Amino acid sequence: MKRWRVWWGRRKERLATVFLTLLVAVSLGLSALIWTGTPIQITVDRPGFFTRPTIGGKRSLANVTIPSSIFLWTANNELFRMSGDSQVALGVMWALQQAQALTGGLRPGKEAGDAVPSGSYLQINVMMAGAQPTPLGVWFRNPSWSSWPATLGPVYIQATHERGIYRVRYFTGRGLWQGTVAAKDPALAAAFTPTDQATPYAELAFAHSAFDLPYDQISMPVEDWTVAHSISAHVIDSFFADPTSAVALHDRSHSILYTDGLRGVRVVDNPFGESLTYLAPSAKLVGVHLPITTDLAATVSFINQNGGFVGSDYLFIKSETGGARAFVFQEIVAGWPLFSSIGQIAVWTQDGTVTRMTRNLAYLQELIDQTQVKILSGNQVLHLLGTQIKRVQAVRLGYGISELSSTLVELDPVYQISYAGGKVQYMNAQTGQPYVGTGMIS
Amino acid sequence: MDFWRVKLLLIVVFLCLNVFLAIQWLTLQSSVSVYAEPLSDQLAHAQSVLSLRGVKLAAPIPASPTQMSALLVTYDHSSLVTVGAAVLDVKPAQIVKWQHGPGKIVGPGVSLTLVHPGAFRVLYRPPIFLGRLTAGRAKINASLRDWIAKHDYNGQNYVYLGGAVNKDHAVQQFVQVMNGQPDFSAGISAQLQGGNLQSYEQSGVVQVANEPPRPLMNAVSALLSLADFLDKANLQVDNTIEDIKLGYASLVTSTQEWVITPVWRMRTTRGVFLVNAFSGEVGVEAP
Repeated sequence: MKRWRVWWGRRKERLATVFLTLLVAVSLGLSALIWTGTPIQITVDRPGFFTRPTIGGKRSLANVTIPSSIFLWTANNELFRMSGDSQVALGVMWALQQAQALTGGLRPGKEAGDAVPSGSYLQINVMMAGAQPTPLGVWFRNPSWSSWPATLGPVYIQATHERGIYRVRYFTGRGLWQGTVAAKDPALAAAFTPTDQATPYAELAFAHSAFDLPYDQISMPVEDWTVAHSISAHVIDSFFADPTSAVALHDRSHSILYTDGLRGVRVVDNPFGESLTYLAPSAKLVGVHLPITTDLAATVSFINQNGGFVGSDYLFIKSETGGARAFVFQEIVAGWPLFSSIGQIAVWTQDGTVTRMTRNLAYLQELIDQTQVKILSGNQVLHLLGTQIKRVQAVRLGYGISELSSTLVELDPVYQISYAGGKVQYMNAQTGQPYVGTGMIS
Repeated sequence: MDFWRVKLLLIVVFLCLNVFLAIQWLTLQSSVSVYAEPLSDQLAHAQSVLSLRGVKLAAPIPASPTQMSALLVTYDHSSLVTVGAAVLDVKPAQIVKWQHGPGKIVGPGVSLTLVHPGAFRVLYRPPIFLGRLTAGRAKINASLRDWIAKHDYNGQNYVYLGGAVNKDHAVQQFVQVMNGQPDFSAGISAQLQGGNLQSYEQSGVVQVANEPPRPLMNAVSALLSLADFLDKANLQVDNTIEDIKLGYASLVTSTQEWVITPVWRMRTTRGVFLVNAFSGEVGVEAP
């Protein structure tokens, strides 16, 4: 017993050390098990989770529903053009979104021209393909205006004698509409005074038609941009709820169709590299009529989740056939529309769902050079058209693209000439020569 | 310093800590075990989710296999002579005599026209008598099924799907069977006037390959996918689901080959929804 006590006395501390070390190790092991085994609540936003934003970024409805331009007619009968993405135009749109509708009703008048007021006024050029009526809520998103009928063309705003009260006129399917709104935002009142951002324009009457074009030889930059090509596989995955279920099928037309049966993405070669068409055919449901604003919101959300928007600003043009709606988003460069497929996204919807989308996988990446050039005035352009002017329906100034190499393009000022019957031609705005360009919208 | 006492104290503390950690770990193990919600509870949940969106469920929920494969298919490129010989029940040599150009055969009382690759139309003049209306639609439908199975090209591979009746006129639909399941994208649409079969249009596909089998979502999960689709599309309209079936379908075809994928087909009063049974994506079938 005594020997045992002696042995215990000598060894107890060493045994306690070993036992303590074991306990520490076990506690560490248990802590690790609990740490790795605890379930973590994960919230997965499906499209955002899988989408690789390799093309562009997200845009809100306000970013894309901008007018192509706003014209200011002064009391002295001068005409100025302001780009739809200019600060003045954005201010006007914001002021009208905050405005309160006061009164409104149909007035005598059967022609679209009857809507044009006299004196100083703003002409908001909202884009529509064909004479398709579009609710004002698409651009102004103001419930106060919701009872007002859809417009068939530009919306005219005229100041009244009363401060902050404006007269609104536009042509509807049932005739001329006139209403008054109260707009407190000073941006609207300020827009009636031309600024440096405004381009002097003139309404030129030729062959019984009127064309709104630059009054003089204005300066516009010729721009060199680098072109980036996004990797199609990254974008394609975002279109499928389960990308692993998509099968790649090669077509006779050398295009590749990725499909899971109900959805498809077709990738084809185009002048700038590859373009992509998303297909999700869907029939019309019986007795379902959704407002255009619902389809437009679904469209913008869909683009945001599948590649996103590239470029600074977009304007959209809509058309409608049967129950299906088409929205075309066109890129704006330096305040002017880009008439090329490289900056265009087209989306078709049916009952609040996107059924088709086409877009380029190439995009303008970086401005590397810029040279100011004088372009032809509206008068010079119309004279150059000669006898063809009788068949011309519209002339617009914007940009065309010439491909310098697979990664470099030149943006040239061009006049887009639209003829009766749908034919479209381009004229180099600097030289007056026909402009062919690359991937121009026809 | 008495290290023995300090170590003893630490041993007691770590013993208590380890007991606490062990209890925590055991609790964790029991709480993360999988809880399988009974199908009846899942269905009740789906019904309440749908009813919030104005959708009423008036169809039984079918059972489903746990796995299926998507199929790679192409048009049935059988020659018009082969198809004609089956439909007219004569030898191919006789069909060649009745052939009017590359896409039409006109035989006694029947003509057969190629509509597009893999699809043809059969027109009976005079119409085929299947039964009197007074005997009831059920009897006529039974005769029609019998006729299709016996006289149609490959008719035994088509099953009855349903029909629509408007006064004396009726349209009855059959669909092709692929791998034991109906393919809603390929079928027969028969036009009846009274109790007479006037014509039918048939399309068919042949299997080229099949993808590896994948787990299938059940019909209740498909209903929840439909509710999600209605939310995203902002479709808040009254609707009733009248029928739910599992099968194959494709909304995206190609000139060469395409994919038919397992779908839950939901026939409603507003239209026919197709829910991808793998991913839950939803489309609307053309009428």
